[in-house]
Amino acid sequence: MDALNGRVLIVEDDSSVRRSLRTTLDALGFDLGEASSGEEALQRLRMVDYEAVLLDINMPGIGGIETCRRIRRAFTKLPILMLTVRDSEDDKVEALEAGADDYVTKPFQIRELTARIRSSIRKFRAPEAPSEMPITIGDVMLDPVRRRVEHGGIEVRLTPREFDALQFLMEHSGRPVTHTRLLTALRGPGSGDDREYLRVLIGQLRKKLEDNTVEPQYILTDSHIGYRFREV
Amino acid sequence: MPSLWVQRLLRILASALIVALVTVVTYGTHAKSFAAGFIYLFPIMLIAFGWGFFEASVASVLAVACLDYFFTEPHFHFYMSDPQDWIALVSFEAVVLLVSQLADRLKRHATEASKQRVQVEKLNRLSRDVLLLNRRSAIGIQLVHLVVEGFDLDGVSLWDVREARFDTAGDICIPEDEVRATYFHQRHGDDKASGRFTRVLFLGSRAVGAIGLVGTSSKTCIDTRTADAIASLAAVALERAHSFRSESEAEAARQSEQLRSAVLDGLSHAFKTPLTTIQGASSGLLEIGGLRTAQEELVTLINQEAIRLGELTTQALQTAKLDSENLKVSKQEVRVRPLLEGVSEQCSHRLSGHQIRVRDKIPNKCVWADGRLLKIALLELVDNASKYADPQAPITLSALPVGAEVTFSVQNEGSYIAPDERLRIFRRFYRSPGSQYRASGTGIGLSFVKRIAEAHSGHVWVESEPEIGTTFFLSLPACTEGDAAWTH
Repeated sequence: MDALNGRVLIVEDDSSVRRSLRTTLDALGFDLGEASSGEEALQRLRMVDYEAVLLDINMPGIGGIETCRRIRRAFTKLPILMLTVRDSEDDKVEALEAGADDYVTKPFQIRELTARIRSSIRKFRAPEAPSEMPITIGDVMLDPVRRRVEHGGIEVRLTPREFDALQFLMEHSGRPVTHTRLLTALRGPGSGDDREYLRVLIGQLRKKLEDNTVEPQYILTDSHIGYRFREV
Repeated sequence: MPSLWVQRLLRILASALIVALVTVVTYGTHAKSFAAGFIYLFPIMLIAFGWGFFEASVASVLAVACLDYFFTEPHFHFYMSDPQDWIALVSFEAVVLLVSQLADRLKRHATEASKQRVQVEKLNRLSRDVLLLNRRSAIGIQLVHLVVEGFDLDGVSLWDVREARFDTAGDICIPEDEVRATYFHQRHGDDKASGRFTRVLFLGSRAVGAIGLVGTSSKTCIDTRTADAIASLAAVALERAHSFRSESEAEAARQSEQLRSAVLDGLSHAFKTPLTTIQGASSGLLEIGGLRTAQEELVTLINQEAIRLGELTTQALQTAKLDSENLKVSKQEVRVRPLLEGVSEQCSHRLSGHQIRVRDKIPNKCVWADGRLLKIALLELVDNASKYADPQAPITLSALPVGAEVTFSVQNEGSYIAPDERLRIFRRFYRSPGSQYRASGTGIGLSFVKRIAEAHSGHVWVESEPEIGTTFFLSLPACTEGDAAWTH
């Protein structure tokens, strides 16, 4: 088995989409399982150790969002990629809030999909880094113990709040972090949806870290959803 | 009139009888002349009050005669030597005159009051009936019939300005030109002698029409105040009907838009699932590799067209969403030059034969906009230009700062849009006559651009010259220094 590929469960009610995904991903070296409903997916997950789940958001029965929530409850670390047909930000936010790691909007190109699956599996397989270890992404290095951030080897001075926000985003690099999730991480649960506060905070962070704040390289905006730190 | 004279004659006879009766009774009681004078006063006052001056005068002369004959010395002689008799006669006449005048005035007032009460009742009925008019059929004709029947008029004419409609009811009507002249000169007309009234229908200070009323018969007797009141009620009725109609038209338009959006939304979602399968299969085949050149070429074609179909579906979905009231516009700083270059790059592989150019002098400016929507709008304008331009003609993209705005322009040679078409082409589903034979399209694209411009407080317009070609402009507010701090 290709070291990069892995065991993926496809949860999709439309048999044609399922068939095209199965044939393609199988040919690309993934080890696949299939389920046509949320209930079936939960059953299969108990029998086989999958390394990623491709989960359709619109399904009969308990539906994609509820399935995602239940999977997350049972398997805290298992990567879940939501397949959304609606071009609606609300659905995506709901999926992310329910515990999904990422989303892909239908119709999609296989290359984009496999890249996301591989990245998720890579993270899943990586030994859990102790949280004291410095994180380096591109030219940015964050040392949680010394609470120090460097950009291209030069120290960047951040306020405590800016540091916490950056640490949270870097720990979840490559994955979208919703506004609510980021606010909860910074201020605790029940912090509401104060996007204006985040906008100012992220604006300050970008000024300190980015070479060009209009086209940021590190802290990217997912329109109407949240922010995403560039992938390793 | 004979009946009136007969009535009067009967009353005089009755008066004489009453005086005779009083004389018999008073004589029987052996009353003195002084007391008898007072006793006579009562019936005379009653006659004056009840029947009027003439009957009372006759009664008073008879009473003085009886007073003189039966009660003053010498008895049983008509001999008015005593000045007292003359005084008595004069006072009797004065009392008769005074009482009959008073009675007359009271009666007149009472008649007037009862007439007014009847008019008020009629007006009340009219105002109630006006509320019950059937608003689905023409209001004017219903209204004139209501007025004719309610006030027993000979004829009513009504001129409704907004409907440009003239309605009449009854036998004798004021003609249309006269009623319209009342409206145009904004002058009321009263001809009480012939019972003709014309009124301008005012709603506040705004005139909404004119009404002409004719009431010649005695039972009609409308006056100026009643005519004013009828005019006010008619104005209110017309206004109510108009606002009801515009309200229901707006509601119908809203419902049909909602339905169209729902259909569009449903269809696009239904398309996306099969498209996912096709795109997944075609891009999967390419990703797996190992295809022969011809096979790869064909699969690439399928993949590209599936992507295009996907984009069209997304566009239809976005249109449906743009129609909904809660359009989400996530504004941020968008730099003009990279935006235009991005549009140019994305278009270049799609445009058949047209070269796309970005003008050299692009200002180093930003606009405050939803970058995704703005890009869609510009792509749409380029796409539109490519459809109608001369084959091989270049398409030029440009942007210019104008005041506090940045104006984007997309120019092409070879097409011409007539002045009367220039506003219509931004309407949804509108396609210029003959354009369906020239280029494929749905008539959605430009309406989409307009909606996006409006969502950004900007505007879109087109200029076209037969020799030069057509240029579409899209103007959006430029970023100020203050906005830059809010970049995200």
